[in-house]
Amino acid sequence: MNEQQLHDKLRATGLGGIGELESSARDPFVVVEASVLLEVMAFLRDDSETAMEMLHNVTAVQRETGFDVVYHLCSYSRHHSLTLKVIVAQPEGEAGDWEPAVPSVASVYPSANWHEREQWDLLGVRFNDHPDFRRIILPEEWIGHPLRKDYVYPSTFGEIPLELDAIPLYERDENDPPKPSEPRPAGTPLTQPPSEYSTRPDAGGRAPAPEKKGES
Amino acid sequence: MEALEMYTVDDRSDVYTEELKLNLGPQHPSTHGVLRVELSMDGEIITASRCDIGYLHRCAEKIGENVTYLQYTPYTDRMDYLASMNNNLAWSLTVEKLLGVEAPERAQWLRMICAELNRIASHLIAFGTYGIDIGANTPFFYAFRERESIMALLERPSGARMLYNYIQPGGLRRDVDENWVTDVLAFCDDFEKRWAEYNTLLSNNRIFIGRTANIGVIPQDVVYACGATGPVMRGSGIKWDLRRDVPYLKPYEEVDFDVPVGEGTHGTLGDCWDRYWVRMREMMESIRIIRQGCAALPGGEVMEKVMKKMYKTPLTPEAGEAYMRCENPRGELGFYVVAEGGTSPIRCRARAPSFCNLSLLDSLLPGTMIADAVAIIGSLDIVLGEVDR
Amino acid sequence: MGSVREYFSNIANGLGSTAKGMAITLRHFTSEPIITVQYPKESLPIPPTYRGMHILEQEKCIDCHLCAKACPVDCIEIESVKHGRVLEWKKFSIDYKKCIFCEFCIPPCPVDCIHMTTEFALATDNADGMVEDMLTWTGLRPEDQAKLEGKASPKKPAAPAPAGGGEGDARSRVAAMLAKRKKEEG
Repeated sequence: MNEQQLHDKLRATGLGGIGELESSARDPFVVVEASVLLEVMAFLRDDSETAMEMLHNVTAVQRETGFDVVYHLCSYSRHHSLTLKVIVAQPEGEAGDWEPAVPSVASVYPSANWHEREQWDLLGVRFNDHPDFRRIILPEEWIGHPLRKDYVYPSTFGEIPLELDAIPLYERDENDPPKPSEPRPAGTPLTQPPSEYSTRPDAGGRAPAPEKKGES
Repeated sequence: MEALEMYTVDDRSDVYTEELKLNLGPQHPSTHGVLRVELSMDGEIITASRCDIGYLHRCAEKIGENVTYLQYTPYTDRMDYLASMNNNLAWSLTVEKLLGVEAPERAQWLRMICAELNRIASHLIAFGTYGIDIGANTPFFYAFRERESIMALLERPSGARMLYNYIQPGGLRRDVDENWVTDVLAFCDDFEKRWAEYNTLLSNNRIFIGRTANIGVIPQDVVYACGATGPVMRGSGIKWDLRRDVPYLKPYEEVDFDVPVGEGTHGTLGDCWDRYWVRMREMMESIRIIRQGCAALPGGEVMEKVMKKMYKTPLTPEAGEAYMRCENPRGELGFYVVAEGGTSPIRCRARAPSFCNLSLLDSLLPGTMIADAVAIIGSLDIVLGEVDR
Repeated sequence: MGSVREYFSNIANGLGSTAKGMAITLRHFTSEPIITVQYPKESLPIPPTYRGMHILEQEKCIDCHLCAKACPVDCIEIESVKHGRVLEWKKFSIDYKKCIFCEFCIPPCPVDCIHMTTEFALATDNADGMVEDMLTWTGLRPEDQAKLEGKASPKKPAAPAPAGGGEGDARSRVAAMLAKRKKEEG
């Protein structure tokens, strides 16, 4: 089945809130209302002709007007795929930390579990009725959602400074402060492999490896 | 399962028992990286498990929104660092889909050969480290010897040993040298002999079979439900391979190869041994593909002339979005890119195969023994760089 | 009795397949070539396409900043003053703490003046020293000074002496390598 037939099939179910097929896009997609998302998913999975066994990917996209939540479905027995989109418009007067909410599809496709947790963690999209709604990658106590366009990188996490170079590479001895490194003449490489060890073909003067004492 | 019942603790009120919380990882060799699994133990039996990931999170998706399309290629190397070629390929194909261009024919064939070589290298690591997980140390060294030859082969055109950054939008960075194809074919001949040795060493080893057969059985409906792909899916007997079913490169339509699936040779279909054996046979299929690719390699350019200017002026695809799936050694890697006309995308999502395969773990572990947990994690063959991105 | 027989046949099987594996190990021990290399006394051949440390041919460079723009990690810093066509150099540095050796700085160069070498030994215990200065000279060369002052230079200026000097110097090795490659190509 191609996308057009799948869309016709979806329309034939009589569910409201199924938008037109955007067939001009590179991956044709259907915009679905959040209220019928679960029914649409369950239909696509259970119908013997559509047979979408797998939810391949769940992505949230932040746009200027709100959020798109994109679901990539594919059928392994029928060799076709379809993209569903739920568009959540940002209500007027909402601040930047507004959290859009869509129903979780983990009850239909358990593979959505981790994907939805990741989208919540990184983009701050709420998935209602999710079985295990926690952050997945960042620590539970993290504030904010890093993939938001207006995210500001924090300078500390609890008491841990996060600024670059805030933590020294290794603890230095206070009684023996490091000497300032001598200015290197321009063009000298940082580390010079011992020339007697160099057997590189382009190394020019090649010296034999030093003989070990006690061996003959 | 019958064997397990023998071990379960009887409800005896005179013996004091307590549930033990055990942290497997994050610094544990069997977790193949920095993965922490929080296990609840009843004696040696696992009653519940909870994966904790994110130790290797590097904000790869955020970086993608801040660099140009070309500049993101080296970052895809660092996701699944054992299969950089395949990651480069997936990203390049996504950008090409967004731009509506196609790589020249020679580039397509070379891409296929390089990707298959990298698939063998990646499966060799899976094979070697799986041996170590189970307790066989020798195969690891043999696997690394062959991987070393592959790295030396891929180093010649790309200039790096692991993070190749060779396949780029529009084609390849540069053409291979004149002896390269001959050397690849010589490697193929050599590898077939080595592969037979691996089987004597590990695949047919009685102890290895005892440790992996009937362990970690994944039924087909769980595979679909949890979104597992790649050898994990094929190990459960599902004959699906994007290279065969949705060929994303033209040469894949022309070469002849099989899709190995698990058959339950030593036990239940979908156990650890089946997944392991799928990987082993995939290496031989890759050799077949490489041989045919080398024989049919056409001449010509390896980079589109119009694309060469992307090094000086960044690519600016039209507004739109593209989702591209590729068959990586660990499963299906998908890139979802949303462009709004600028030089960098506004969303750059990677659907990592290891991430989805790992989500199976929490449902697989309860009821097994702690030693089998190591065998199960190893058989999923995860790369934490890709799980956390 | 069946289980006892199974027990012992398992042991026999296990020993048997271990012996088969040991036979392979033994064969490799005696009749296969040694493939390990005693680094750093020996090293594997490095292909000329290798992406290692950079080298700048400063006399060619026209200060166009295309390499810095192409860099995904912004590790190249260039500072110079333009006096007409003469350049007064202040800085051309690559921060090897950031560099990911992706080679994107090489193809945009219109005059082909920046190259990657086979130099890979960058390990150091001092992170401050990892910002590498690529310049052979800073400021104005005498002949440039002369050009600026509108005089013809009194005699042909000597080529600037390579700063590091010596055969072990990466820069001179790279220069020799580039010359050799050009010779082979042309």
